[in-house]
Amino acid sequence: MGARLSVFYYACIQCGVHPNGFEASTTVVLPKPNQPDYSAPKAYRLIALFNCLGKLFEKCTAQEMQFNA
Amino acid sequence: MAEKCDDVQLVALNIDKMVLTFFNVYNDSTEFTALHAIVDSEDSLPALHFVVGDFNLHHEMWDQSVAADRTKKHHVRESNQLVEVMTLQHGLQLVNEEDGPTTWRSNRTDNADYVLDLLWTRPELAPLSFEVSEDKGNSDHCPLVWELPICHRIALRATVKRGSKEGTKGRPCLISMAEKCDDVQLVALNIDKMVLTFLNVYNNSTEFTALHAIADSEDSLPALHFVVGDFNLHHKMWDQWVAADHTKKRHVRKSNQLVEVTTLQHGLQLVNEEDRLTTWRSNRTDNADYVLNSLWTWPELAPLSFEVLEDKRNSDHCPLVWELPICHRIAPWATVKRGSKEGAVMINAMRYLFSSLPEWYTDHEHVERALAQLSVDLQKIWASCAKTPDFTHHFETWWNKECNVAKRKLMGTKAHRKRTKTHLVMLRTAQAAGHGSPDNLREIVRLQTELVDTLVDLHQARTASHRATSRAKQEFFDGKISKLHEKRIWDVVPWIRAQWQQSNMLLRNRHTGQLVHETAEVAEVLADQFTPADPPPIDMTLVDEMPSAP
Repeated sequence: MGARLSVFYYACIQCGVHPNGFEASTTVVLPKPNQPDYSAPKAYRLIALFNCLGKLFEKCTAQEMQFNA
Repeated sequence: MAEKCDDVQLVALNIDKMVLTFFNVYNDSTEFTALHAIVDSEDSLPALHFVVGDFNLHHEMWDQSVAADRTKKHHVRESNQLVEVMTLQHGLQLVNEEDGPTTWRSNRTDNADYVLDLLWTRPELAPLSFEVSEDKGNSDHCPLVWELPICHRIALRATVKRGSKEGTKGRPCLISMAEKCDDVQLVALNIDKMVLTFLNVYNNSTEFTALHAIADSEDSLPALHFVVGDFNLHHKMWDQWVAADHTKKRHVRKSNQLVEVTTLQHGLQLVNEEDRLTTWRSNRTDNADYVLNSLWTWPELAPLSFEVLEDKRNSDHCPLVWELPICHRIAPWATVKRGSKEGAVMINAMRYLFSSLPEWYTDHEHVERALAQLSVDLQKIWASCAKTPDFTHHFETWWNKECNVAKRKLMGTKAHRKRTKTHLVMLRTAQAAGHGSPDNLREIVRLQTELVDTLVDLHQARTASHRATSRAKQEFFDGKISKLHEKRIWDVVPWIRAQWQQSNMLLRNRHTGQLVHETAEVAEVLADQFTPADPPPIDMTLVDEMPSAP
């Protein structure tokens, strides 16, 4: 599993592509507690949940740049 | 106060956590037993709030003609004593006016009328109104009627208990206004922690009782969200042909009053204003159609759609149908439980999926395609393995089947004990009234024994219930602690869990000020708030200036 993923990540780096699937996110809208008016957009906090494979890819790339580049 | 005097009665009335004492007096005109009893029992009396009754005494304080009328000058000492006792000892004041109406009006026409019945009250409880009723019945004395200056309990307050069946299932609660008007019904509907109030109205076209009832009960009504019904009124606001039609110009004042009450007092807006669809369509073909039924709502709860149905059935009135702009309760998300069979299946499927990824990639399009396929397959695996959790209907999450059994047994024992007690009381009452028999006595003895046994059963059931709940709690929280990971602290923090959104929680566009209903509009409003209009440019020279690693 890890071997095939690493192949995929190296392919991304070699092709110089950050796939669109990594940029898709799910946004969750959380109401902030004790707000006077919940019809105002600023009474909410948005949390964007990104693709886990994408986050792992970014972490691997950062690691590579920091220590092995 | 039967020991001292039969003519004096002390009555206590409990209103809104306050005990009011009423002293009801009949003072015999020859022996003055009631007056003497009051004077003698001064120390044993509680604080008196109202003293009322027939005192059979004359005094200038309540009858100015005493000085001129010699017949009223008897018993001056007793009347002075009464005034002294009431004002100085009990701190009361007289409600009857000096030249007020007479309260004793003889049924014989040759007799004069007198003020014999008096009402004394505490100054802080001075009546809002006081009158001498004309309806004497068969008596010579007129009844005294007064209004207490105490706050009325709010009669029309929509409350739905949290956790009750009405609350959880969103059942409507009918709170009728039958006291004031049968044609107005107040219905409360609990949706997602918010109580919506609907006022259902039938306004009589001749007496306008419903309109008067709404206008009169303005203070006691809760905040109204929807007012809907047959108002039997014409107004240019909902019928543009009023100006041209003379028959519709009647009751202009009443229709203006309706508009004033709904818009100004309750802050509502008319929904069938623009469409002007007729809602009353007579079954007789020669009659014209009118707009008589209207719907008024809060601006924040303006319906998503409004329609007048054609299906009238046997009525002349068409039903009104509208869609509430409230969010539905969020359905629980499907999850895969840790350590479950579904979890193992999902991990195996994912392992197979990743191992089937290509071993080499030709170009960037190949990479994109592979990732897109991977995402689709992962979603399929998740959809096949994830299950929607079945939440318990009990309030406590630790409640289990054992608690249910113990609780049911406890309730059964309580009910049995109550039945036995009631039966025993009935038999004892019959025995005391002289209807007893040897069988009856035997049954009483048996029931007494059974009552003692049920007490033991009740104690045991109560103990079993306590133990069951303790065990359930211990089991539940031990399980939680064992599964808890030190890095997943959010699992035990309550504010991070899913919260039910309030039903009236609609976003407002900050530019136009209008409420938005559609998901796309909501996304637009949020993007407008949180995305900067002109983001600062990224300075790429920063990368070049970074020091190279040693």
